Amino acid sequence: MFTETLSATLQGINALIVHVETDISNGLPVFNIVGSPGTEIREARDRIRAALKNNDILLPPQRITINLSPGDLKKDGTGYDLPIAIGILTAMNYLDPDAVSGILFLGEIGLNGEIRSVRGVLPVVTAAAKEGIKECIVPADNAGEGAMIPGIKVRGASSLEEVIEYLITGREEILPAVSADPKPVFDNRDERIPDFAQVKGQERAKRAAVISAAGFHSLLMTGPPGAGKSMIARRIPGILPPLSLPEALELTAIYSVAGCMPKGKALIGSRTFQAPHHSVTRTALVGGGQYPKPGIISLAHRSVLFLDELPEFGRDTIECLRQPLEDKMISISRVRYNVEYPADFLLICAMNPCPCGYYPDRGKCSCTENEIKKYLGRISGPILDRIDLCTELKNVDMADMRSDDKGLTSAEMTEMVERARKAQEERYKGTGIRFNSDLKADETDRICRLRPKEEKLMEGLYKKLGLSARSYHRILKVSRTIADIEGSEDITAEHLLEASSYRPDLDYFRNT
Amino acid sequence: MTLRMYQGRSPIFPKEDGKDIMDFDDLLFCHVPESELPYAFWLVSVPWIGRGPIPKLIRDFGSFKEVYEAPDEVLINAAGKRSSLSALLEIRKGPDITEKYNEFLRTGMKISFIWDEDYPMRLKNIPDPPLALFYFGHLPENNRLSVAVIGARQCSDYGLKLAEDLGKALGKNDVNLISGMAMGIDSASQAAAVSAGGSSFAVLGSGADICYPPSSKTLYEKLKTSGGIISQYPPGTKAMASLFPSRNRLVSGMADAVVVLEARTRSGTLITVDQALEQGRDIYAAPGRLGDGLSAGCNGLIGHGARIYLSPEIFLSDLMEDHAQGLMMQDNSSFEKRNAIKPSFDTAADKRHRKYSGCDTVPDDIDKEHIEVYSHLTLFPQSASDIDLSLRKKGLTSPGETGICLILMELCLSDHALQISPGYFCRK
Repeated sequence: MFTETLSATLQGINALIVHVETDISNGLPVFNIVGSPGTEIREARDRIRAALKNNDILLPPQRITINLSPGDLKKDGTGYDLPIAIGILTAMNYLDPDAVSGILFLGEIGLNGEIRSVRGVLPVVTAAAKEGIKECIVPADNAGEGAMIPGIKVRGASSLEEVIEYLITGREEILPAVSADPKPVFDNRDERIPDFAQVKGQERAKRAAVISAAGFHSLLMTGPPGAGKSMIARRIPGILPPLSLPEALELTAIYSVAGCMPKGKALIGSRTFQAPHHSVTRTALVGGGQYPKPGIISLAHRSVLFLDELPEFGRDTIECLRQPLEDKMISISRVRYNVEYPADFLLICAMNPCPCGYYPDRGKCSCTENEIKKYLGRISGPILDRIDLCTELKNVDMADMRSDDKGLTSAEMTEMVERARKAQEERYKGTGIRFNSDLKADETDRICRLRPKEEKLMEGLYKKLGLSARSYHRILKVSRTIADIEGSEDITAEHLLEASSYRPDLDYFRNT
Repeated sequence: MTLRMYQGRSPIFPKEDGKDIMDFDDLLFCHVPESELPYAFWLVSVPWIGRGPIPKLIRDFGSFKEVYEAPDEVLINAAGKRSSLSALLEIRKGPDITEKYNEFLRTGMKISFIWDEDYPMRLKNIPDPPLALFYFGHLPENNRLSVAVIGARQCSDYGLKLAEDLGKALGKNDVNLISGMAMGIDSASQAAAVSAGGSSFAVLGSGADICYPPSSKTLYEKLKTSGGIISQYPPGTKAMASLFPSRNRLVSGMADAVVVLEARTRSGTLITVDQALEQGRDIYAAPGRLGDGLSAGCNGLIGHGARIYLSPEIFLSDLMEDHAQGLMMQDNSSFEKRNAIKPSFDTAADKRHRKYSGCDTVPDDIDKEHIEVYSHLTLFPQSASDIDLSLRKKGLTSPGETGICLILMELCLSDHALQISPGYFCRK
């Protein structure tokens, strides 16, 4: 007999509905799965056989063929265990085909019949809702994620027995639909993000952090070890405006696909902070692998990617960031697949100014000219080119450390960031641009128009500081953000001067 | 054949006073015939390390040709067994030396022997001067003041700034600047002198045709036209550590005074200073902050009685005072020209005052609001937070780090400050 159940496969952070077709016919007793299954799916045979046996159901000694359609699409993951098992049971006439039809199944089955969590539940449920499917049965652990999507019933199952009982009796209380209201779980302020008030002194670096968060400008901090570079980076997610629900769902989908959802959490509701160690590989950073998985830069989507000790990162690894920084997403192409993952992250980097960390204080710095040159030379030029802000940190003075004056607190900084965000939202309404940092050269000239006095100042800066066309535009964009923070309609001389004091001086990095 | 047989032969070039040539020093005053030059060229066609046996060979054999024609064993006997000598003997086996000499003359590099007119007079007066100098461009003129500027390779921005200021002042005032083209102080001062329109000379520890360090390539090319590239080693000699002490000797040897801008306590720079003292040169040292490793050598020199370097103007006026006499005797007209640009001080009291005030003056064209920040700016790189801190420590109201940064950027715009690395500024 032939039956069909529904399941889904992941494509990037989206999902595609897969029809699981089951046929049981006479012949030698074999159990075949066709339709480009990966290793995990092939292994499903043994899991299903054992799980059914442990639920007192024996597979018939007949020829069982499973086809995963569309057949030319490579599939992997353990989520097909449940739809295949249900398909076989239906084909065996154990379940009523009408009770099964129209339900999407997803879940891994243990040998005792327990249903275990899988990755990618959120995108699968999203795709199901789009296709007009009304009901999904997913692992109980992941049901919360799926419940975020309105217009579809999501039931969380913890054992095969439960599913069978529900399908036979049709009694809702066996597998109740999970609440579909995301509001109670959507907390977009992560209380664990530390406060900027703990960073004493470092006024300039904190100011740079505000500008960076306000206009999504990438930031590079230089300073001796222990000055507080990582401290500042860690606090930046806390001053970014809270995630909106669509943003949170997008981020949750990425986490879900990557299998990084924290246990018991249904939604990634707040900005994340990703700080890979400098030994990170290319694939881990940008994503990929034999079966595609999002990398760290996608987990930092709409959040902060912090690269500490920038020169220590492999050049190849860092160069990979060029496309995502430009396009806000990464497309990964392999022989077997082509996927795209969103990767719109705020890049924050930190480094020592020289191997020992004390340059340009030559009294303390023991590095030779060549050592410094070599150290700075390790930073990829194209990445430096994409850094908008550069700020230095000094070791905090004792007086500052002891003083009660906290300087800016996270709350004050958030206020500044939100003011600037609002100004940008209004300005770019309907243009597809989100932040000042997104502006292309011609847009910069159009939007960051200067008055004659400022025009003249900029001319002076261009000559005196030996700017390139690119850094000229960068200063304009950053000064636009500063003006937005100050709530100023026009870019004033002060904004330009401040912006230019944060410019990354490429000459310094290349020829010191 | 023994050495004895060669002694007592009559030398072929007579000294001016008619006596036979007996010593290397006598070469300074004799006329060497054209035909001898290829053989003299042969003798300097390998780099001799240290003092070398050339004076002894000349004393023993009497003429370059005789040396060239002496059998191997005799030469080895006379000069001792050493690798440079075997290299010489090897060359002798090759093509005719006259031909090689002519080939060299066609390369564009020039050679000046110790008896030549253009061989620097100052060098003739040091102990053990090299027999010949290979050079591009020209050699320092005897009737112009020459100053050697030396200092650390890994120098601070303070040192660089001093080097640039001094180089510029020397270049503008037609004083030759001698240095070694090394990274740091050397090349910074030389580049500044050349771009100010002056002449500068680099003495290399490699052949003059090899640019060492390679990073100074631009300067190297510039020096060929505004000054010279000088080496006592034949073309093609690679830079070797063992060749440098001897080149340092020439740097100070060609100068009237030596200025040390930055040096650690145990450094190559101080070795040069020792040699300069042996040669009787005036030593000037730029003072630095106590506890600053890069200035410890200079401060130590001042402690030992070196003259203090306070500013290019004061240095130049001292230099003119000390060396005018000698120059006047050589060339009257050029001295007067130089005397005219001598920095003027109105009264003796003013001079004394200016002399010890260092460079702590605030230019007139600085905005009133910026003066406080400017006066905290030094030649040492400082960040906005440093200035913020020192303002607050003085009990003054600080415009905050961001405010200070704005002022610093404006000072950069008006050419009073310089941003040297992200967030760090110094006086310009």
